[in-house]
Amino acid sequence: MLIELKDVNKTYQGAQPLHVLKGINLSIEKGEFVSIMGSSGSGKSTLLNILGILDNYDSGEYRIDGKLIWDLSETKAAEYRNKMIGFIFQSYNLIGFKTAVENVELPLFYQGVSRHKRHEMAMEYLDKLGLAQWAGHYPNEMSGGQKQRVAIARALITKPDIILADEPTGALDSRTSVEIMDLLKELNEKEKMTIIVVTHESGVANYTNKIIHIKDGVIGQIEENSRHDATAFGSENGMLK
Amino acid sequence: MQNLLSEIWSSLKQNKLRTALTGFAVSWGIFIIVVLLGAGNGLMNALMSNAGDEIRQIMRVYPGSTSKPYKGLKENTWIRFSDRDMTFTEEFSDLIDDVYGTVSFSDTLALGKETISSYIMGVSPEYLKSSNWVRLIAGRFINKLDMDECRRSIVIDDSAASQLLGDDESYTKIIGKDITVGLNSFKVVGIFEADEGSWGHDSFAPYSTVRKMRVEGTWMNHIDFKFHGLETKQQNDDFEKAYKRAMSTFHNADPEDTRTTYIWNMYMDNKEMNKAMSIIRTALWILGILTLLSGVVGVSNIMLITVKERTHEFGIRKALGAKPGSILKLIVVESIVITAFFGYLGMVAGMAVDKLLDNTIGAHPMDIGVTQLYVFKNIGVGLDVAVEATLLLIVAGTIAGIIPAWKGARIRPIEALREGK
Repeated sequence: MLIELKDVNKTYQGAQPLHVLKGINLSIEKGEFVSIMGSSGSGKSTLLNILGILDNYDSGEYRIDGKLIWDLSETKAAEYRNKMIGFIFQSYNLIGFKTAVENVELPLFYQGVSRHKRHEMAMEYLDKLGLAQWAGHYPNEMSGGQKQRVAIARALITKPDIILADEPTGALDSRTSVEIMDLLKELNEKEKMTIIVVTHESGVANYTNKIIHIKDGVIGQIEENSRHDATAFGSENGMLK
Repeated sequence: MQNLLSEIWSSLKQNKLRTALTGFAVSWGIFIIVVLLGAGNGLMNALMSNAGDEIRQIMRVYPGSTSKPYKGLKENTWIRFSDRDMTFTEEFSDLIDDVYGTVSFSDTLALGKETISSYIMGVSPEYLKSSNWVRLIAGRFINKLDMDECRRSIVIDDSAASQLLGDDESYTKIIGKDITVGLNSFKVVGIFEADEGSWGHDSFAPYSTVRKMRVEGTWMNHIDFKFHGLETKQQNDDFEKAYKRAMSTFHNADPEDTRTTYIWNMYMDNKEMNKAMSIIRTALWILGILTLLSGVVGVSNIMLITVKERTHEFGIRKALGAKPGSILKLIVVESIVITAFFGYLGMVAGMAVDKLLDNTIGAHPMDIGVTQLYVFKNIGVGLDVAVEATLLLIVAGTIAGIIPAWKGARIRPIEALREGK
């Protein structure tokens, strides 16, 4: 089992304490392509943050590949994120004053990989995503789809155990959204990447093989979707949007 | 390191104007320090042309007169120093190393038809070292051989030299020439720079020679002695008291009479002077550092804004695996790079201004009517100050960067990522 959550609870303290995750139990196996679906306020973003070791939880157990993720120092958490997790964000989160290739190199920089080696690897990944000729361009010179592909290259470069995609198509038009989801699907099928997509769009979720519904901080239905016909909230023909 | 620097370079390029303005504050601070210290050094060099020399442990004793009658000696009787006063110091031989006397007379110096009158002092070779006002500009001073062999050597001042030679500009030609002093012939061995403020001419001849020429009643002007082992003010005061008491007793005056001799303790004087100078220097450093402080606050302020602006970026970096330490290092090093680079510019500019000042106001003495006075001399700072200033800059840069860096390193990635949205 690659990812295992047992009775994970999270409460945001404040004037009105907010119990966001109420005993989440979840297992995701290596090579799975799953989506976590829920409306805003359902706790899906919190769950994603915990999965990505960006946030901690109050009680329960979270293990990645058997390693317990609990009470980590900032340094240790950074190291785990760097090695085990690749992030894809809705707003791409590329660094504006760095070129595409420099953005892709960044995770390797924090691994201490030599300048030459990481440049070579970054170029290889950009090439894989068909962006080799854009390597020297800055993010503001690229389209949304190109930016997201740069972000995907950046997520892949450390060969992480898990790819966490937070609304990866949220800022893209429908045609580009399809391209990006096809790309993720291909990565899962050909490279056997474990990919978790967090979304509120059923069309996006429909690309994945398993849909985990989350509502009010608890896991609801877990839908096997190997036939990709879950169109409950989506548009006709299973198309996005 | 190269990675870190290229990261910093790209971030500085982002905000050229801001970087330049911050840099200016630092440059200005260090510029002020260098100019202040340079001018301060110039002032002190002018005050004491021998600044930096070791402190000479020399006392000069002048004869005085009795202040009260004692055992048949009337009040206001002049005390006179003779050779015996020099040997008398053996009483203090554990503290006094060498004793030199000075005798003098006035006479005419003549070369051919030119004559001038001069005050001729018979001195020991050590006299040069104990007298700030004598600056040798050609030839040599009286030496040990002159003393031992009672040679007729003479050192005259530059204006005397040019007057004796007539209109001749190159007065150094007089060295090696024989001139007449009264009825005797002396060989000119050296020339010193005449004090702008002095009236008439001074010359120096060996003590032994003058002493021999003036057998009848050779009273000494003063006695100099080198001493050691007196460090504190208390020790010096005690010694001076004991010496005066011994001197009074020796001259049959009341042992308690303190006016029979006057002692000029150059060692204590120098010590006090050095103390005063170190206070001035410290004050200048403090002023400079306070000025630099505003630059440091500027850098710190800018770094805080930078951290705030880059919160989202730091969030991305942290999500991608940047450890708090690496963010901390990035900001501190950036702060040091800004401070050091612009500080260095300020230092170079400050040194250039010091040089300029030295060539203008430092090169021209101020005319105060009766005499001319150097207010500044050798304006500028040494390598030591440059090194100290560089270290100061690195420390300042670190201090300026540490709080912003700490803030940056503590940013929680989820909050930082949210910020940009």
